[in-house]
Amino acid sequence: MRNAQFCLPLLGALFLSQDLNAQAQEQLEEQFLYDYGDRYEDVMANISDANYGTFDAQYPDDPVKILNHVRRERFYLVLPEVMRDRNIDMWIHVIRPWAWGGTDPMRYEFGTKSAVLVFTDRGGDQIEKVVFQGEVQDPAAYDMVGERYMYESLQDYELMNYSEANRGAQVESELALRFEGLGEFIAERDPRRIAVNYVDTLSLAEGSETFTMALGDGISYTDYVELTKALGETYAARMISAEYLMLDYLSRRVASEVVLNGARGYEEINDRRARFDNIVPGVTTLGDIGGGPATDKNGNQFRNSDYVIQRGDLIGDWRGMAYVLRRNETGLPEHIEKFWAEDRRVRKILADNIKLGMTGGEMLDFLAGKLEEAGFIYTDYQEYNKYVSDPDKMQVHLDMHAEGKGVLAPRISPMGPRWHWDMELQLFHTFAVEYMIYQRVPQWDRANNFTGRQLSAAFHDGGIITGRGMEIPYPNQSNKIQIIQ
Amino acid sequence: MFRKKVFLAVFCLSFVVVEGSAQLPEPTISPALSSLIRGQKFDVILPQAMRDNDVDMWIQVMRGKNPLQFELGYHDGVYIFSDSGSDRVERAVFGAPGDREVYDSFGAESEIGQYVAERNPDRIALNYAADDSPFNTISATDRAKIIEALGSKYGGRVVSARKLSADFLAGRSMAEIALYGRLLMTSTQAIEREFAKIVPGETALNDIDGNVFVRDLAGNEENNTDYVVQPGDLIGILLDANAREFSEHNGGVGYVLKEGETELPPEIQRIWGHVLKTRDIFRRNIEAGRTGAESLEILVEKLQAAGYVYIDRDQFDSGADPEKTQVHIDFHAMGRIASQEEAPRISPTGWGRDLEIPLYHTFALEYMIHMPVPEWGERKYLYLCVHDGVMVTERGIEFPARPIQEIQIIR
Repeated sequence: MRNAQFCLPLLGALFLSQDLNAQAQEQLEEQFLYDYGDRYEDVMANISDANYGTFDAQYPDDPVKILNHVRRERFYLVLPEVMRDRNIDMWIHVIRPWAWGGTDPMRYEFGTKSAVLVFTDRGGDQIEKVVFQGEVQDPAAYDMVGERYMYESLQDYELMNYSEANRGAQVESELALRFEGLGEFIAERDPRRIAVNYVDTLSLAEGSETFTMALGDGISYTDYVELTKALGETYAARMISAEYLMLDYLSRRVASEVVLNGARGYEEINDRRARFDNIVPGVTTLGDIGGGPATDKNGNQFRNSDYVIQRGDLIGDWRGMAYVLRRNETGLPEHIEKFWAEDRRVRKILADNIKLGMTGGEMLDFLAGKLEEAGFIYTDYQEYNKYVSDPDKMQVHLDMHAEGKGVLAPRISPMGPRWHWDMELQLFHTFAVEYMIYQRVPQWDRANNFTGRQLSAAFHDGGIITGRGMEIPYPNQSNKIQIIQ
Repeated sequence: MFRKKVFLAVFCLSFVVVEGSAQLPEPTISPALSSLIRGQKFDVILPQAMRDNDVDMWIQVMRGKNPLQFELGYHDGVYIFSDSGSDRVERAVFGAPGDREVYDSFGAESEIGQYVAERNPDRIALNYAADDSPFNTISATDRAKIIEALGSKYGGRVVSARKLSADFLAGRSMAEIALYGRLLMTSTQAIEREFAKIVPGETALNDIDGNVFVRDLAGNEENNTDYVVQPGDLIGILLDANAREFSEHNGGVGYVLKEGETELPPEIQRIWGHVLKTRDIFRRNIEAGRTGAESLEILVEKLQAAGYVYIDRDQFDSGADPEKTQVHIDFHAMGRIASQEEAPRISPTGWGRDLEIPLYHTFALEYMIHMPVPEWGERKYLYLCVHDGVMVTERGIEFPARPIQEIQIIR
């Protein structure tokens, strides 16, 4: 009874504390409120699977402030560099309104879901950054926000302002209003080459590979026509596609993005240990440990969640692997030991050879050559090929795509659109060390009538390219095979 | 009595939870992360550090507390690194267990002589220093033992590992950069919380966490005293954040509005303008590969060209041009506790002035602005200290986390 007496108030305290916790959370949220773009998700919506995605509950700062800082650093360090590299005097980026940023690939970069933005190289160290029309998440990142626009940049307010200034007049197109005065503004700056965010040749949708929404160029046909009218004949003739400029901008990283990418080092790394720790052979199912696959002692592979894990099974995936010892075994069987040693060699070849200065495609060729030199077979396919010249060699497939902020970036892979391969690997390029290995196990193959029975594994860890070569920003998930007694 | 106990339990629990929500925890360095940092430092920093110091072999005898424990290992023993000219430095531990993920071989201390002879190094760095240094960690007994084990041939090739140790620690792996950025964010948040606590006329400097200071217009400083914050004060707060052997501290500045003021007065805005202007000079003129002293010389020249007076002490120079703003610099290392002193330093003082700044080095952009305000009287000036965490890259100076972006207004 004494215990119960003590329990009840504690339970009450727990509820009270949870309530206080929620209140504190609300206070924190209030503290981080802004007029526009108050939530990180506001400008990152729909590209969540490919964005930083690293803001865990313990993150030590407000995500919006962090991302605003990243944006400012990128404006300071990357913007002048890419515009000058491409010989661009002015970059106009139009994000169509009423579409919540839609498929625009730059909405996070510029911190807006709807705007007419103008970046002008007027000499000096920096680029002039102007929000001609629209709202942005971080006005302080810009030199001008709306000063040169004659209406109030808030969707329907523009129309009301117009009606007030032009009593009785009928607006032909609300969309056109957004470009009023832009021609003069541009003429003052007299740019020779104007990059505009329409796409001439690139398949950005194919190259974005987000799970929720394919990215495009952001500008609508109507906006393009209105922009052309606003620019007038002289300046409209100077427009070129900003497609490569956008890619250049997106594919370069600053130090604060290295910090965000490394945040995965602070997630509960022991999760993968815990995942395998309670396995009881003959009892635990793949479903109990969050999925498989499991490869049994004869090379049969199981993926169904009700499969009961047996002794002699190799279990796991890119999140980590474990082997369940058979009776009288004290370590990994020889074929798994050899498989793992070969995997370590593959990883070392990648770490020793990935560096700045090549395109994704050149790097793929270079790595394939290094792998072949070291006795592996490089394969473009994500599957085992039993018809290769030497089936005893380990086969390796690479798909090292960008990570951290979308995949409109260089890719060391045979996958994706060609322009992924043509992009140069840049300083602090963050990427997935994703590769698959396939190794024939002769005894399995013989027992299965030479149908190509093999041992395979996929890995997906983190990498970053610095001036020193490839580095690892957070612990690998697959450093070793955990032994289950 | 029982009721009282329950009440107390509930009361305390509530506080724990609220406190837990408001204060963000410092990052935990998991064993996997420690091992990664250690391995990365061996892979990407150590070969260059050994070559820069013309060292073929580094012998580090560890007994008890040692500034290199995080990087090498916590067990007492002898750690030996050999550069045979390939991309990788060979790593061995004698007389101790060690991290098998990063070390290649293990042996008994009695095998050291043979191990060294087989590798035939020309220059062997050992953890002693001629001058007072935290890297001077070997005992006289151990030193004698090692020299004896090496024999007369190799014993004569021993040199101090002081500079090598400093260079090795000054290099940062990308996982360390991520940790550094996270610590910077933690202390930035903490500083903002401390500013939010201030009630003018009530809060004393020693009610505020951190290194808290206010200087009057004549340069007299109150530092963590019972001085009560007053309208018109320009307050500086420096606070640290730590994770085991890693630490940084950065700063914030707040201004207490006077009655009738609704925004920063022109003088305060002017000094903030100097913060931004000098920051830009620093960002564009610091490069990896120069020593701290060389960098300082360049920065002084650039500051003077921009119309500033450089002062080598954090004290207003009353003999200088009364119209010009004075700037003092002390860009010291940050990130690894052990290498905050024994590291490259862009500063008029410190041993590290002659050390080369490696690529991706992390340090404090710490500078002090003394801005004369002639309209307030002769030799009257405003003082402001900026202390942000930065990193040097191929592009110059970058901020891994947001630096001070404004002077906080305290009402």
